[in-house]
Amino acid sequence: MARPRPTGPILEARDLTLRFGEVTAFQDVAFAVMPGELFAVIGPNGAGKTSLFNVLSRVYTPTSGQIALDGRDLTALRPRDLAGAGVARTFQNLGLFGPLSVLDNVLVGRHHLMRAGALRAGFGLRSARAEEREHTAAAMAALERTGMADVAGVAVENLAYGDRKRVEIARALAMHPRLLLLDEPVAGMSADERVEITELVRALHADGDLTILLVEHDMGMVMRVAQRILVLDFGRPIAVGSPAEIQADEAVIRAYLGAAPEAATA
Amino acid sequence: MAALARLPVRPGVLAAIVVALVLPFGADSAQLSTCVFIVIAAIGAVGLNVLTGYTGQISLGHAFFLAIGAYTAAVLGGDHGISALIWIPASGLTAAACGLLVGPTALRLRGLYLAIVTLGLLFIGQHLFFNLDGITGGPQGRAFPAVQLGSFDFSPGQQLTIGGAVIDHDGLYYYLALIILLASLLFVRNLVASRPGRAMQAVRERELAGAVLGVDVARTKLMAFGVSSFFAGVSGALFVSYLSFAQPSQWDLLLSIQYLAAITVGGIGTLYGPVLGSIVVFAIPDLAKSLPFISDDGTGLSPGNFSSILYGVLIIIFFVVEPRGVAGLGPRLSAWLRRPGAATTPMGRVAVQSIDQEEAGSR
Repeated sequence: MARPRPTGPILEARDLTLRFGEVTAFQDVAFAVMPGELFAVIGPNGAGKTSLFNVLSRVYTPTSGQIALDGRDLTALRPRDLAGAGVARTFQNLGLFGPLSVLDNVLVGRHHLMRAGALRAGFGLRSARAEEREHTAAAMAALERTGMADVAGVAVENLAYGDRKRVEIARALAMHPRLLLLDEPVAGMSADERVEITELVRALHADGDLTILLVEHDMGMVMRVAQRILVLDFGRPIAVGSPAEIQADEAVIRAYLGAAPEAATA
Repeated sequence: MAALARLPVRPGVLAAIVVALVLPFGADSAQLSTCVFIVIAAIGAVGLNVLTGYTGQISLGHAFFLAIGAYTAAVLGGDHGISALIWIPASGLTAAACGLLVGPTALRLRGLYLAIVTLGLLFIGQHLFFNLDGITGGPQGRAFPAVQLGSFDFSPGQQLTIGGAVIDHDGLYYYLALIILLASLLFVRNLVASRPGRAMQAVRERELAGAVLGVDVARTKLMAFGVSSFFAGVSGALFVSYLSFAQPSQWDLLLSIQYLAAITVGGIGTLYGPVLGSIVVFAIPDLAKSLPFISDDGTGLSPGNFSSILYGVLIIIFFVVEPRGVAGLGPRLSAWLRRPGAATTPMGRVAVQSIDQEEAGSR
């Protein structure tokens, strides 16, 4: 947490292109996320949102272009280095470990901050136990923030979907990230759950110096929480701006509602 | 929850330990001998459970690591007369070293492919053990050293008298193996409730999600191979020391399958499952001898064949009916008692929700 905060963008993409053979997932995408910002990427189905998210979270390597995290090349990092670099992510369909308890799931988020190996842990050495206590406290604090502390001992697979998402977000928070990547956080949720999670994301962002980038299909959610929005359509960026600007943008309206004559098909 | 994990054991476990401690005084020699094999095998099963149960990596090569431990004991204890205090841990360490050497090959593979590669390891091992006469005695096999602590040794005929209680050859091995088993369980209990153990379970559940959280998947699998092989090595060394003689043909696929059966039947990925499973699986061959339709003279079903068939049947039954094994029967039973009819929910999951919570807490 003592890392110096650069004044430039925390995350910057330039001329980013991803192709699978002849298929172009997205091309010439450029944007910059400033520290503390809540930045959203939206677009209709097939716009390339998830592919872009997977590039940012190092699942895919871009065909061309650059991504910089704090001015350093993000593509040089392996997926497991992301946690140490201050990047946490959630998964569209949850990346939780079902049979493990809520607390254990969140504690896996502390993995990169902990040191105990098999021998120290297995022999139950004092240092390992002290570390465990310290990080359990941090994990519980993260669970408090998402309102899941009272089910810490419950196996995740026994929770409702919305609660699982809260656990996953708590786990990401427990990693003490500077940049939080949320992959469609309200996908597959009921209307009530959507409202709750939207409120949670907004509250977490309001709490402190967390930078959040979220990819989302749900316009309502994005308009309520995002400060700036990038809109993709068929793999191309068509607009960047504040929610108000995006709502008034001709190209965006066309992309979402279809061109005027076919408006009914949307 | 972490605080709960450090409390002394639950009442049921405490009762089981007490029963285990007095057991030699109520068993005849043949029964005690079966118990010795069960306890020694349970150490190896606890090890396999770390790899297969908690980390989700299927291995058919467990017999290979048992053999490595056995031959380390033979060379150090038998050929060089080194104390058991050295060769028991050394057997584990040598096996662990082999596990770490084999690991990198295994890291690239998962599921069925890993099973096939570890099966290959077993056959390479067989070839080596049959041909390295100097170490293994070749096809005829070789003798193995009895445990020797200072001037005292555990050979047949030896006995220890403590305040009127006589502990004979079998009893000595029984208590030694029991101490090592309890220590192994304590180690694994600590392990799975802390950083490396959570990483192992994360790898089992979702490798990618684990990696994104900073878990080094390759390192975690390697560690699981090492820990698993360590316990296999110790188990193998005690096994041959108690038997006092072994042939290379013993380290075969059936032995590996017995261990897989033990953790499956007992409850895969549960702490005490491997022990419960070992009791079931490793008692079968001895129990089978007393059944009327089983005979050793070639006229009926031999105890060996009968046992093999039973392992297969048990694995299938438990996979289909109770994936959490014998260890899952307790919670299932108490849920059924509390809420009649509830035990028929799929896999007992919903019905035993509250017990899951307790278990998660005590782990």
